[in-house]
Amino acid sequence: MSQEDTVTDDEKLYRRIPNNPKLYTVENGITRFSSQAFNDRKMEPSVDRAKLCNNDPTHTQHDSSDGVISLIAGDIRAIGTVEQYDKKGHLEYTHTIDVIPVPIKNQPPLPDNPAHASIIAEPEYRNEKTFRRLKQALARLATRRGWEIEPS
Amino acid sequence: MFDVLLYNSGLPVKAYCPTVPPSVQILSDFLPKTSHQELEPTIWTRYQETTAEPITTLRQTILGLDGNKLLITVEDISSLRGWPANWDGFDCVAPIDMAIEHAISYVYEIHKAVFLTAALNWKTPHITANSEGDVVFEWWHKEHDLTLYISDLEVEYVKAWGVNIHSEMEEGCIDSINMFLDLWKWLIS
Repeated sequence: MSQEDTVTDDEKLYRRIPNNPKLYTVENGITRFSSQAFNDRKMEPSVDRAKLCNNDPTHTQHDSSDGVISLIAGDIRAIGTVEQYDKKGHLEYTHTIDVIPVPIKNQPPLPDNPAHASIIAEPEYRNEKTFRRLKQALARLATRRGWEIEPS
Repeated sequence: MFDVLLYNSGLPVKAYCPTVPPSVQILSDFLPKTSHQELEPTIWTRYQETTAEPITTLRQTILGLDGNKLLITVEDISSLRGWPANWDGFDCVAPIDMAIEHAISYVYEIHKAVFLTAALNWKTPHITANSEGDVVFEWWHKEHDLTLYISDLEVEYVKAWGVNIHSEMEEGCIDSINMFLDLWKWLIS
């Protein structure tokens, strides 16, 4: 198995945060990231694997004004499992959070990006409610680590 | 000390005094005044009974504190109307008008509950939106996070006190103001 096939727990991951103050705020000198900084229509937030982009966070910027934060794969996996219940309170699913490589190649208009990975739940979410918890956790992890590149 | 709830920019404002018994907390509706003589007499009397602060402080308080905080929040929510699809750079839909309307009416409701009914301090939420166009309010206090998702029909919450999504978070639907107040008390605890 090559290093591209698995995201190891010690890997640093970059996440782009567009330069929009609705995605973060500064309180008492501390940057707090909004849970909405991890919005994703497919409920699989995108990240880039640092070791596959020369540990260069600028690789993750789409625009030079974008900010970039970093997360550690093991921290993401350690945020636990989340249970989803039906309306009668019966357990339907237990979701486990993982980070998997999803290299982008030959998918125009997207540029090729061998470092691309996704933060997913297994099995996949059936609704947004469970995904909200993941976003909350990712925002807290990002707040602990701060910026790799501040938006400008 | 008096605080003030502004319902609209410059037009009518309502004065509250959260430090006195509920029966006299709602003091008056009035337009912004320039001196204490123009204030409705009950307000001035109650002010004299409850504080020795000079009139300049009263005026600053009336024109400055919670009323302005709430007004800024309402303007912040209203500004969502101008946001395009993909405002977050991650393919979201534009904020939904009905959700924005609901969020504006809801913020008045919860501000009143916190500030007037429960006599607690109000904290301005961070206003944003999610991928589906719902309005999102976020508060952070020490290790407590409270996030509200406001759609056109309902208000849901996520509360978090750590990163473990199983043991340190809770979610649900807010179906009464008392339920929101319980969440608020938890947030600021």
